[in-house]
Amino acid sequence: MSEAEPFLEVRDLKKYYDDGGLLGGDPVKAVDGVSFDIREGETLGLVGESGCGKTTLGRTILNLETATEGEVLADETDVTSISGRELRRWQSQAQMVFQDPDASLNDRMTVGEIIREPLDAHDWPNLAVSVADDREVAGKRVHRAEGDERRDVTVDADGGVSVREGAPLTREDLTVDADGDRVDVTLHKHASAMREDRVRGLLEQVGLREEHFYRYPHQFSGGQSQRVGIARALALEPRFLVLDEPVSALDVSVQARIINLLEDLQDELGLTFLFIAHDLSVVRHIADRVAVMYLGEVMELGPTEEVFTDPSHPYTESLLSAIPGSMVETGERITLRGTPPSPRDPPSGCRFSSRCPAKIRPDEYSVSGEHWEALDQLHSVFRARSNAEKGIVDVVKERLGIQDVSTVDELLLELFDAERDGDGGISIEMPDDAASVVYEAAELARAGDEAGAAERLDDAFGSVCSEEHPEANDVGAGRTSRCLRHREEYEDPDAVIEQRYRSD
Amino acid sequence: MSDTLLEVENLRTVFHTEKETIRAVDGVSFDVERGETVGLVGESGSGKSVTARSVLGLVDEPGVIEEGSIEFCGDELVGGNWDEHRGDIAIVFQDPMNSLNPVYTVGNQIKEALRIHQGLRGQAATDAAIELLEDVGIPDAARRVTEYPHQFSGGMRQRAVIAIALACDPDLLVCDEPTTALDVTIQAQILELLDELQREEDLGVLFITHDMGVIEETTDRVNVMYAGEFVESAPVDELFDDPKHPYTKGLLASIPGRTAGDERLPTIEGEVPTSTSEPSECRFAPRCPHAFDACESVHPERIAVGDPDADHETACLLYDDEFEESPPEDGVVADGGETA
Repeated sequence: MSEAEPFLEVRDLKKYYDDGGLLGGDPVKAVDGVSFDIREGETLGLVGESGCGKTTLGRTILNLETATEGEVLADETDVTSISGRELRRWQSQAQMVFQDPDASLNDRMTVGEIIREPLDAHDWPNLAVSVADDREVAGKRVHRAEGDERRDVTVDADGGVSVREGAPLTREDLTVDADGDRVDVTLHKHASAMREDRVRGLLEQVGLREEHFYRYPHQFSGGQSQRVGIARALALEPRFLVLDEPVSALDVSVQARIINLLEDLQDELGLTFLFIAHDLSVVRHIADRVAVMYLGEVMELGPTEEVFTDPSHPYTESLLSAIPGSMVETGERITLRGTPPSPRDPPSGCRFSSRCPAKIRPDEYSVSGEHWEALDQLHSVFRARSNAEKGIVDVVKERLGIQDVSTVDELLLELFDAERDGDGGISIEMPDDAASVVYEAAELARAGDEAGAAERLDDAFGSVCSEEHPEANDVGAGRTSRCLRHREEYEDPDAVIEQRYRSD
Repeated sequence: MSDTLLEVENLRTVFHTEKETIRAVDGVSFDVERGETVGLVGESGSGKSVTARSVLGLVDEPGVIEEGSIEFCGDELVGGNWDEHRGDIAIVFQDPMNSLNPVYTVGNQIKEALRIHQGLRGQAATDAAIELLEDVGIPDAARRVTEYPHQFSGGMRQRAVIAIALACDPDLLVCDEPTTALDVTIQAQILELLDELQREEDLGVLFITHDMGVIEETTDRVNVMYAGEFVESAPVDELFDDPKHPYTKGLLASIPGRTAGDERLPTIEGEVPTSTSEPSECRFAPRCPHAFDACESVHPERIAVGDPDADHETACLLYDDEFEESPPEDGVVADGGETA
């Protein structure tokens, strides 16, 4: 399966919100240059913390959001720029299952109506009829199959008719009259009867019973509601499903049943999945390959088992080590500090540099590991302060030059475990060259220039990680990883983490 | 380790509805000692949260504690003595946004708790609030104390909630799914924090979750809850190495990703039933892959199993000598071939 043709090629896809706008602020870069292939019949897992852009990426691929830049190629068509009939065709091929089944099902419709809705919206059925030579296809609810569209009915040169296996009708349901240049196809069944049959078939396919047809969503448990959501997504016989956290809201025993159902459906119908989840254990079970996202970028991509057992990127390593329990034997846990920075103002250079456990440190300072962490933290506090929305009082204080001196002092005392000396000043136990930079930055912060303070720290203690944006490096075996440490001149991330966090 | 903080004995919390009486918690007993973390695990609807609320005296109409005793440091709480110990037991809920008041600053909310439980006011309260925020690992606490909950990220909000809980200076902390709404990286931070606080303050912790991984990592002792009852209790290592009850085995087996590979996940069919009457049968029997005739007519008592030194108990007839059926071979879990 791993060598299958790409079903979808995502190329440098970007989705920005508030782009420029009237005030010309920075846009939110929710998805910022993502490229990967999704292969026919595979499950690609997409993991990352909340707010990293997973869902936006899924929605942009389906053209539910308009892409800012880049393309998504399916059968050589860029689906981000299509509209009208083409778009409707793409939408019938690619569907989405949402996280919260209760929120994504209309309370006032019966389950039958919910599953039927996409059929009505797309005026289903519209059978693709394949005919030999140049003959025309005529009749209601039929059209001539184009390109590599899936054929529902095949009429060969000598008038033989066959119906695709699994198609929503049988040979007896239609009459075909092949006469010269024209093939007349007449359906005996009314569309609404066909739709009703289709819905009942779908109910059975997802493990619900016929009597559920007339029930309302509130009468269902979480697992059953999610089955309804899956049935609705399958109604138009799509080839590709974006599953957005489909089991996150479910209990573990129910979750296992839905996962089994999804795997069965994939086998049965030859579906391709993009499986979005923040639960890494679910992704490990279901995905063939996995993409790890951080702040709008894919940091690492590769076959699931390899990525889980031997992560290349420091972010993957930290994410995996955060999973509770003994699921992954990655050794000592690396706890990432804080939360990802705002996608409106991502760190310069490598996106992950502000939290990276394997960040490259400049050689000229001999500072202890703990103090390096404190310096990183001080930097992020100054940055956060300079970006914080300021209340009127803060703004007035700033204008008048009244600054809360005590908070800067307290910050230093807390982060560096420092002590006040006799005359109220603060001295940090650090080599003089490094300490003097901290004092300078603190002075700037006391004067209200927090951005300047952050910059001063960055000038001195920043490295290539905060200057250069890493490319996705090929790290072998079909894997890529976006880290500067893969360059020859630096030590591998793995070795650095081992040495910094896992040796005594 | 020997001083027991909380002693729950045969607790039964019921909800009287028009139609029937629902036994949400039906005869559970457990202890929490100082410095110990006791886990409570089970599916939704098994009665975990009602147990937690019962311990805090937060069960509202139509719910009532019908039977049993809850002793805190030797004082009986059932019957309305919670007021005397208000602040000694604190709770952290799942969703921090629901626990915080959006129109007060985080500092104000911590100070409120400090005023009520420790009588601190003014600058002393502010200083204490800043200190608490620092203790729970919020950077730049002096500045953050004047901010509102919406200015905090999800992880920081949960830290703030923990700070409020700590402002009561509790002896026992009840955590009701405190990390379920959080990302795994943030979850790791919060679990680390709770562990640290517990060691510093020698807190007893009652930890409720449906995540077996979190249980394995944080607790000392685990109670597996099903339909209002504890079906298995054991020290955490013993439970994971040698689970006895078919329900426990099913729960452990249905966790995805424990092992590599494409095998089908074993599942437990059906849903947790709602218990409305005195049990005359094993409540798990309809879903149990190993159920036999007696399971439908005899209510299993808790019996000692496994390592005799481990204080490992389960309520399952498979382990009862009176019946001939014997437990399945170790390592064999529920048949994985069932369809969904």
